Amino acid sequence: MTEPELPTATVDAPRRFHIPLVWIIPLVALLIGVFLAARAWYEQGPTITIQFNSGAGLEPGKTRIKYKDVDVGQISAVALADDGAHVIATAQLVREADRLLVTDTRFWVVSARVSGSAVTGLGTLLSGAYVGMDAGQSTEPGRTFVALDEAPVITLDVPGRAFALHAETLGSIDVGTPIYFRRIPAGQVTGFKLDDTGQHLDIQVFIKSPYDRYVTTDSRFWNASGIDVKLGAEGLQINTESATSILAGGLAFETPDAGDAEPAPAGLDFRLFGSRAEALKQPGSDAQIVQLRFTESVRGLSVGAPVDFRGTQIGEVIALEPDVDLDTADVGLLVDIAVFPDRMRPRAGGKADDDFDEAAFRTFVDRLVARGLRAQLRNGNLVTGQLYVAMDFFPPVGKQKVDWAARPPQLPTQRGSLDELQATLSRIAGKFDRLPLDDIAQETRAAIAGLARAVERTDQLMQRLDGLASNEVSAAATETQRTMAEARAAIADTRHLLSSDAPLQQDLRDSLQELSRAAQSLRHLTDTLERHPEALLRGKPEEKP
Amino acid sequence: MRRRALTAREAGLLSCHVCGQLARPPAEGAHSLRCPRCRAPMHLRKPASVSTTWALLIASIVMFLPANLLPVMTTTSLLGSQQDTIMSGVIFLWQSGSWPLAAVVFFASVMVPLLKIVALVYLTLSVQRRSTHNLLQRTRLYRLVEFVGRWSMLDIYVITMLVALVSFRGLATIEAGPGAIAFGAVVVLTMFAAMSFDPRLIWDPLASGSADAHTAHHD
Amino acid sequence: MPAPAAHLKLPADLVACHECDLLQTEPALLPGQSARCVRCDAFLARNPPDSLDRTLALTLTALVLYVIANVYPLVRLDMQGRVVAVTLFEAVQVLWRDGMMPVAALVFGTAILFPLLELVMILLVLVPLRLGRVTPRMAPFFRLVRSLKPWGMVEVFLLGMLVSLVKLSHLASVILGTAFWATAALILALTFAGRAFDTRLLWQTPLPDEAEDALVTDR
Repeated sequence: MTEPELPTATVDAPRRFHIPLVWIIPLVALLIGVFLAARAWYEQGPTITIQFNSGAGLEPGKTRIKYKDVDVGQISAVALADDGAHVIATAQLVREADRLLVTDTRFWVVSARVSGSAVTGLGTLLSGAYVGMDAGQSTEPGRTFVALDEAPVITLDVPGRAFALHAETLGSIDVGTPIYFRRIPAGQVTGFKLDDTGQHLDIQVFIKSPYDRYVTTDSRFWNASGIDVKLGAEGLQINTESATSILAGGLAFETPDAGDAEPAPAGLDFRLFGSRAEALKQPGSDAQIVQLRFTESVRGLSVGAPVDFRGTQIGEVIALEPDVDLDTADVGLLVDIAVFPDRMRPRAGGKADDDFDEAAFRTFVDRLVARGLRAQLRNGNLVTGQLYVAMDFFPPVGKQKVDWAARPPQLPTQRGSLDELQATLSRIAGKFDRLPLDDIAQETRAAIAGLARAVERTDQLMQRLDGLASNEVSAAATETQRTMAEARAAIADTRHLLSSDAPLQQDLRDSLQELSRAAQSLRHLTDTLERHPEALLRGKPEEKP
Repeated sequence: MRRRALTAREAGLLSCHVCGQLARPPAEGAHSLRCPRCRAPMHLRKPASVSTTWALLIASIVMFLPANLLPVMTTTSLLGSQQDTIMSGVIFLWQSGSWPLAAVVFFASVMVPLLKIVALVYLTLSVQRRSTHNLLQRTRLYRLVEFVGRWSMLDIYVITMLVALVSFRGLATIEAGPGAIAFGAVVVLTMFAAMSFDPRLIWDPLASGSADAHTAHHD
Repeated sequence: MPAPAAHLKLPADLVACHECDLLQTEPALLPGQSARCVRCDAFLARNPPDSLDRTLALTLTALVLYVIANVYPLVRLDMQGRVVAVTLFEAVQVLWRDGMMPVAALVFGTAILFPLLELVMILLVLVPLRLGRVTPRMAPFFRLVRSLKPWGMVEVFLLGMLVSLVKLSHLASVILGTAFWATAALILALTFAGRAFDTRLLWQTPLPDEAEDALVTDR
């Protein structure tokens, strides 16, 4: 039996290039790797460098950077700067933070802080310090920054306006000190520095909106720190803005006579007054400077002391200086005062906004001086013994005029009341000293002795007359004659005494006059002493120079 | 020819541990030999197997005590500082409810090294006494020892990760203690001990029992 | 040595079991089959299909995964607002900085260095092989791979990390990072690569002047 020819199966030529399916696996792995790398590269945010003063709180790879409490990056490296005085930190931020990095963006280290005015950042005790960030408003991108030493008091995106104050001393003001408007916290002090001349302090403040529109060109700022205790003629006054201001200090502002003054532009300069009363005095811009010359002691008078007219303040002392005239060896004291004409202007019929008319003012003052307006130093405060300048009318002791030609113009002055009293008393004492009191006493004694003898004799005579004999009557009559003669002599003596010393009479009269005048001053003194008994504790005033 | 159970050694052949090539020792010397195929060093048996294994075993026993007595981990937190040995860590895991973890750590860190040491001691002793019992079981035991050896490194890695993750200054930090070094030494030494033990020595007494007395010794 | 087969030329399929030293014939293996010792059941050889390709592919995968596993953080920990994310190398660095230098070196070696060397060596050996070029210089690399293999403990590390994370999960919120998953995949890739490799591939291409006598070298 023949077997059929079986066909031979075809053989596929072996494929040269045979890739097993297993190669998909590494391909997939590679794709995943590439995908991850691409994603990481795409999501990579900007790298920035920040210069710090020290590396405290900065851990490379750990310390985060937060903007508005949202994690936006991390410190990746910390190294010393080339100059060795700073630390340069490199940080990696997320992509979304790119638009926040402009040239005035600020960075600072946030860690727990306890200070007089605030306790902040306690969360960092648990979570570790982080770097705070405040996006700036510039349009230029930036990648290199210098960190602030402390958190900024006001972040750049808080609406409001910044102003500048200048003051003599810092008091208890510090960065962060609150500023109050009608007892509402309206802003904060953001910084301070001594000005170039070293005479003043420039204080930068920031008033938040909506309070910033209440700051006008007329506004006054004052230091409302602590407790303002005033012990004055009205009694005890205690003023304070808030408990915080007692501890941490505070400033306050107010606009007197909210009139048409426009809102102050940002950056406007204001003066920082020491107290509310001082601040709310009428604007000093219209002040007229006048000079006074005193020859008595001005101890107790200080710059800023008020100039008072019968109880209302019309100005203040702005300078004191001695005035020595070498030729006449006359030494006096010049006191410059600033007078606010508004205060002295007639209210009735005149608007407060009237422009100041200098000529009218001068005529007005001249008339007052002619009526006896003088400046006098008076005792102001019982606790401190401060003096103030009082303008009042005095009986015209010699016609005096205002010297308008002098720069500044000089007003006439009057000796102070206590001073006057002292002078008067010493004059009386001198007068009494000069009286021949011893002689008067002796002669009076003699006269009285004579009178006594006369009276005795008359007594004896009366006794004799009682047991009378006729011959005794003639004897008695002779006696009486003799007594009469003696009495006449005594009377003549007395009359002589009384009439001879015409100067004595004259002196007595003078003294009596003086005494009456002294009594007047004494009355004034006792008035004063009644009200201010402690004035005597001051001690004797110094002798006139 | 009927083939009987013949070991390579009986046949006078050297076997390469790398590529499996069989080769004859040359006539001259029997030292410093290399495989003709892969150039790997060739020995009849692992050199100084028993003595090396003994030395390493004793060293690991010595290190075993400090590994379990010294603290392996120090946890410092706001509440204070706490030191943990391996056992105290296991107990802590057990008490805090994660008993599967406690079992895993206990097994890997305490039982395994201990069993390894015990097994190797037994194996070495049995080889030294040229026992011919339980040959297969002993081979299996050796395989188990070799396989399981690396898993005692578990606790070292646990400590590594804990130390690396918990380093929050001021809040909590974990530091490795001296016990960790001793424990690492135990793992390494037992691994070397297992590697230096030649399992073919188990079967040698069987072969030489039926051969002449002056069969080669294992050094 | 009174070996009966001493002077016979060795058949090429003769092999000695590396655990019990029994001489046996290695059968021809079909793809997918593996050979075991007849006496002690030790693994002798396997014939995985597409061995070279598969091993190479899986090893490359392992390499890519290794890179990912080391570049990205393993885990992200959030404790009371403080966030920590560490890569494997950073974890070792923390140990080193803390003064635990021996342990840090051990972890570095077993979890980072040796696995990498293993992968690189395998590639160095297999890529020329795949491309058809065989050099005798491959052999030392392969020996290195063989000796490093027991010291790469990536899988133990992963388990150790999991244990530590479970310990920490009470204190903080734990998020597994990219590197964690990459490491898990790496372990799988390494395991499969090991199973796909036929060691005999290296030796199938005969080297020039292959001798059957062991070579004598001066060490």
